[in-house]
Amino acid sequence: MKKINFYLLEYALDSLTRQKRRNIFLFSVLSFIIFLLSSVFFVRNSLLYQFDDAIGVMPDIVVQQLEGGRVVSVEEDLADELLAIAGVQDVVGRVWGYYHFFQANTDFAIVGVDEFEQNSNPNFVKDASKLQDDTMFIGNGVKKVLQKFYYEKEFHFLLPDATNMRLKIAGQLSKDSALWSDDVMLLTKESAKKVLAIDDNKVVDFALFVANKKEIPTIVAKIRTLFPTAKITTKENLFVEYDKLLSYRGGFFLLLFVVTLFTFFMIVYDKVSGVTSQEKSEVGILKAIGWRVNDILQYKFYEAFILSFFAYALGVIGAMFYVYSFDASIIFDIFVGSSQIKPQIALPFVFDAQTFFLIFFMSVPIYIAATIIPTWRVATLDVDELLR
Amino acid sequence: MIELKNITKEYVPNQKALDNVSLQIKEGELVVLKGASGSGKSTMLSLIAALGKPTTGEVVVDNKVISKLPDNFAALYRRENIGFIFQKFHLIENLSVYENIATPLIPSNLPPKEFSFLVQNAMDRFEIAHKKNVIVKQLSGGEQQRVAIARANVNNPKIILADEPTANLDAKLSANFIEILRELKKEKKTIVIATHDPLFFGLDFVDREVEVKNGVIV
Repeated sequence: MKKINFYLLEYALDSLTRQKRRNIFLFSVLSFIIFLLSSVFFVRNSLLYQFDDAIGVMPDIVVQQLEGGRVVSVEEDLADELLAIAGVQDVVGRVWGYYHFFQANTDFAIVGVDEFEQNSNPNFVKDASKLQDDTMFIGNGVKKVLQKFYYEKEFHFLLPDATNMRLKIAGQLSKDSALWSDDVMLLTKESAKKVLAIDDNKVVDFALFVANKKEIPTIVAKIRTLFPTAKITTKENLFVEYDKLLSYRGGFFLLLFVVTLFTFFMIVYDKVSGVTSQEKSEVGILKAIGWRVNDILQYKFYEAFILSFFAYALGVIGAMFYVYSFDASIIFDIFVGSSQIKPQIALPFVFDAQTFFLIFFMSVPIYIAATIIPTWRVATLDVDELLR
Repeated sequence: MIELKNITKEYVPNQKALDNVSLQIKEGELVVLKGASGSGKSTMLSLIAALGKPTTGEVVVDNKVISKLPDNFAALYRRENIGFIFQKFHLIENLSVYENIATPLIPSNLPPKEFSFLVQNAMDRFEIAHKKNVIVKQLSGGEQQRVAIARANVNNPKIILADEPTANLDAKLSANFIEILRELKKEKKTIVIATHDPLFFGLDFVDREVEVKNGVIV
């Protein structure tokens, strides 16, 4: 096996320090681009992971009634007809909607739950027994907004009939579910119906749970026969929609990065292909004193590898800190910015080797090639020509 | 032995830098190629060092046609046989004295002890060891020349080629170089110097002076 030539490696390291300014510039730009690219990948991976996690407690089918393309409330009794469909394990009439808090010009998501639902997802609310008709739980984002307006212990809803309804704040929703609960006010169904002006015997939609997931398409077909105007959404549809959204936003970002990367490599290529007279002369001197083209390319390889690999490492490690320790502010807002209240969540660490390899192959080998190819073109010239 | 056989060299088509030149240099011989600037002396040195290829003709060194060697073999030939002292020294200006002198040894990947010994030996011999860690662009012309000579000798080559070695030196430093040449000559090295400096003419240890004019040997 061929021995590693550590003298060449040392020479390459020296060479990097000899052209300090140029190399610091290239190192900084490359690290920054890798940092941005990695951050986008990490945020996307974490959100998909959270979604995967959350989808476990979501209903298998959601049935809504549309009128003029808008979701309208439906009679609660229809739950019995849905429950009668073979294969449906449970049906829950849901109450939810939005409350516009005009003082902050923002919307809170109102979710009404009954006792059964509180118990079905104990992670959502720590002490579910505290949820009464005169209390509510709020998400972290809601809490921050309310605190700005001195609503520390209670909140006054302005109802559609212009009267007030006062609810005590019993606690905060779990931070683990912040992606979903940050802008949520969790009320009892009765209170929620009052805030949202929904009649007592009505609900917004129905959540259906199915024991055998293979039966979902059959059940959907049966619901469609029973309620031809209903909008039916399955868990699978939801996942596809969410993935599309993330891919769209991620894709949009990736497109920007591809343009940025392309521009960067054009600059790098242009910089290196127009090998400076100093570099050209160095190649000439090295050849004149007995270096082969292979030796010169090996030295340039080490030089490019050291610079690009450390830029890669710095970019990726920086992105990990930025995403997992500092919650990727700005980039995260772009991904989940549809709500006016930005969720304050700790993104879970997801190790995806493919992502690391992808970023590596998009940066290090390209930079090395952009360095080696022009050097090779110069190194194959006659020494005479290089030194003249 | 070095042999130039009917060498013609054109850098630009139809402009001959050398025109059908033939020359033989014996092992251990010190030859001075003299002539005005642009006469073709430097071209002869660069062909002997396989830095370029003749347009026609052959350069033979130790019975090997080096003018037809592929690029990588030509580099190996230089590494093992040639020490070249350039007119402008051609040092890597941001490297230290030690690093410049060590550069020709790098591709050989020698054991560290041997590597340091050879570099230290070359520095001591050409009296530049005291500037070991100084960056060469901070050195005077004379000191830079010593570095160039040390670098040319660090591999202990059989052939030393020097192109206008005193062009950038004052009289005292030029005289010092003559003394260094005398030493190298004693070591039985084959030395070829291209110069128009009269200081080299008529020296007792020079074996032969060859005059080059307009690309031909006069």
